[in-house]
Amino acid sequence: MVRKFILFIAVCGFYSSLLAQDVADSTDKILDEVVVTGTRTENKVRNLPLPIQVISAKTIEKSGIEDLLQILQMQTGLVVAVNPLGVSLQGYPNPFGSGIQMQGMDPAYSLILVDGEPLTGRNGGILNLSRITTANISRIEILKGPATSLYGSDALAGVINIITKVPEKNSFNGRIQYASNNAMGITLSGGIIAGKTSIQLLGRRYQNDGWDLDKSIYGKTIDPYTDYSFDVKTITKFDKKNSLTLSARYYHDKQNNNYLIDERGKPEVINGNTYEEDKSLYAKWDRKINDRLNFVAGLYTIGYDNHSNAFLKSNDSLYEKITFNQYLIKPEVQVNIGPADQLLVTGAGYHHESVKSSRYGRDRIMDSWFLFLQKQFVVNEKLNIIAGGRYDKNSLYAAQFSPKLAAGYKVNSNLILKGSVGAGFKAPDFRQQFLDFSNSLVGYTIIGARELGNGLTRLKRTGLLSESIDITPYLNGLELSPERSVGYNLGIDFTYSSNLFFRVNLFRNDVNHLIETYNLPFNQTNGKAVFSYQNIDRVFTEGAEATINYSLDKNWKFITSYNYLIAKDKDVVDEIRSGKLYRRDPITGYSHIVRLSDYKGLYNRSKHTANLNVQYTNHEWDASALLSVKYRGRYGFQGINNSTDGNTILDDPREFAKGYALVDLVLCKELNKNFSLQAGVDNILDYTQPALLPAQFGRGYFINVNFKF
Amino acid sequence: MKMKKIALPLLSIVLLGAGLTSCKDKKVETKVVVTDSIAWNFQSSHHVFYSLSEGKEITLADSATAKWDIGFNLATIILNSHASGPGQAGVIVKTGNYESATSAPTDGYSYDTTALQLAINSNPFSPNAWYVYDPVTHAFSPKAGQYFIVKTADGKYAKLEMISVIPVIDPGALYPKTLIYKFRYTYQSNGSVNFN
Repeated sequence: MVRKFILFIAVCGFYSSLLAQDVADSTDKILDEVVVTGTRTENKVRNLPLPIQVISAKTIEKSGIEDLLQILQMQTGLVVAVNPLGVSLQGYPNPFGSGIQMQGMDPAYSLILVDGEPLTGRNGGILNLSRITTANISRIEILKGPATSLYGSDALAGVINIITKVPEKNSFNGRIQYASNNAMGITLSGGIIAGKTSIQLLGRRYQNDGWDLDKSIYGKTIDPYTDYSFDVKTITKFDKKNSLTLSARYYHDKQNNNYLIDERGKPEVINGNTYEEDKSLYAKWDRKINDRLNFVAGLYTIGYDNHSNAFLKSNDSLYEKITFNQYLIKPEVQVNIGPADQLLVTGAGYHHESVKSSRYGRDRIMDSWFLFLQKQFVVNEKLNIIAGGRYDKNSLYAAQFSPKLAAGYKVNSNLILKGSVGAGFKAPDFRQQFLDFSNSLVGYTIIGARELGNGLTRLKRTGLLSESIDITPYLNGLELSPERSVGYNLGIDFTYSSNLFFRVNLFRNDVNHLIETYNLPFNQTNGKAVFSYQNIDRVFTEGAEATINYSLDKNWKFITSYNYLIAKDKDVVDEIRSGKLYRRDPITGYSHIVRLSDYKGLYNRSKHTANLNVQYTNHEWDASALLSVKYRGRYGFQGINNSTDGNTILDDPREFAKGYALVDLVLCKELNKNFSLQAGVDNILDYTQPALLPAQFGRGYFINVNFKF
Repeated sequence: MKMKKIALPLLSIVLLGAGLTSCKDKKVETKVVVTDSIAWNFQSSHHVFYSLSEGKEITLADSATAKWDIGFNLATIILNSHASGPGQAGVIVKTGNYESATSAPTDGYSYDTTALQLAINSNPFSPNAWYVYDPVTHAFSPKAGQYFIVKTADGKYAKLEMISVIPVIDPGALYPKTLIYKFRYTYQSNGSVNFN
């Protein structure tokens, strides 16, 4: 399928070179896009020596898609990955969900920002991106490579910064959507300009009946849910030098759960609800002292709540109640000094975060403060350099310093070389520090590193741990270090002509001190193990991505990209080298030594992924069509196809899940200057994979009625 | 609970050297090489028992005797001694190539000290467990490159490798009906530590 399309493009390319080049300005648009994520100040993509790509509001609108994850996965090098831990022991619906894999790194290693501020509420490392209303997005900036030097923890693989809309004029917009699974969405938004103050408002309600990908299993794969979102943003420009931005976001989701569990060997139906709530407030004062000095002071706060109540249907009794509550408050000041091309950006802030969960005991608190500094040097017309670093001091682990250096070189007006190297870190999360959980069904216990003293004392008190076991080494808890990485990116932007643009980026990430679970050297009195977390693993990811943007004429536009990835566990490689790793022969079941060539790398990574995007616009008819294809090559998944070969590495051909392509088509027709219609088919090939991609529904249809006044 | 031994297509007790040693006259072959399997009913609350010397399952009625050497129940493996039975059975868990294990050590054996502190680690997720647990399919498969040197209930020596644990699941069922443990072993009946 994909191969055919690439051929198609090549053919188009050939003919187009014969045509006059009087058209589209697509390449200028790409390089002249103004972004803020790379430097925390406004810069054109052209002048940034960093791999950064932008998804515009127009692209989002044209796609007709309202699901952010679906929009992101159509981008170069971004893959939707399900956390493999997402299937719980009792066969619960996937509690963690899907996230974005960038440069081969798990979703936990990408920082997700809204207007430069972090979201909280990661579950198993994954943030639910449905919390962001796509109708309120002005653009999405995707910065690849470590950005810890500006943003702190989690920005190892990169940053996805969602920039929300700024009110520009009095306006009233809306969309009514109806789609498969009885999905119904109503979005209303508006801009109001009132003197010095402008206000942007948005409200949205969305419901979906969910879907069932496997009829043989009781209940739906995705249960029905209803969302509400309200966003307000005001900007007051007091004078030319002072402005104040206030922003509030609210999101509420309710899901009706209905599934089967096994309650001590007996199947039982569970009914219940899961609630998710996201509230954030943001105030920013922008003060310009003169042309060479301005500062921004901000106060940001976000509260995230996720709780579920599960009842046994048979007798209506409470089966389980899980709560999770995370809160963050973050004051911050940033000062920009100097002329635009020699800008010195510096800032400092404080980060207070607390978590309350039914599985963490009491409230848990993490405080940190940070200081960052970044200098841009435009050496001459060709060479520009950015150097910077950030210092993070946290109450729970050793201070971290994360430097970054980037350089861009304009060989000529068509060719730009970009290179960067940076350090990143990911703080041990609350779960790794504070979890204290005994599984009543299976009997094991898992305790966060810092909580070991309390946890083990509890086990002794309740008799789960024998009196003779010496727990003194653990009494004060153990310290975890942040996971650390160094990332390298090297790329070119090549403008062949005004309608043909190439971009290539090579990347390599070395991640150390990955945090994994391990066994404590003693068992409970019930014979079951006690687990905790420690820094043990080392991995690397490396690869290349290439994008071609091509405008054939006023009507046709093509974007195609390809991503190549290798990701391996260095310790596994070492073990194989020293002949310590075995696997079972699929036929005889006998053990054999694993050879280096048998090892295919980390699970859940595709060596090959590709995207294709074809836009056709008919200006006479005010109509357009958009075809998107995402191809994901085969990827390893532990245990799939009954591929149990006696080890936990990807070294058996049966362990691969098949590759797949997701194909979407949208047609758009503008009826007049106020109304437009969109109709589309998602996942035309009807690809589903209930176990690995429960959130991917089969072929679906939608109709949007859009209006703007 | 009825226990039935099922699915034994691979039962192959081979007396080695029956032909080869005939020319070397008089040497009696005492080594037994076996590949066998045993089924455990998933609802069962007790183990299934197996005798390495006899190469067969031992009934529950004989569970309190020294007739069996090794027992299976879900993910746990017990050996007939100490907390688990009246025999002398013990184990050394080894990592490496099963074929190249030519003899058994005379000491260093671990025993089931209590019903919950078994010689063979069976904790889910534990890196030292005898199996690899798969959180997606819930399957557990014997860790590759691991085998057991077993001292039997009557003090003889054997080496044993677990090959697979296969769940038999009826369509639509939540649980497997049975688990089938497949293993191979070499049993030295003459009491020596030699497997060659």
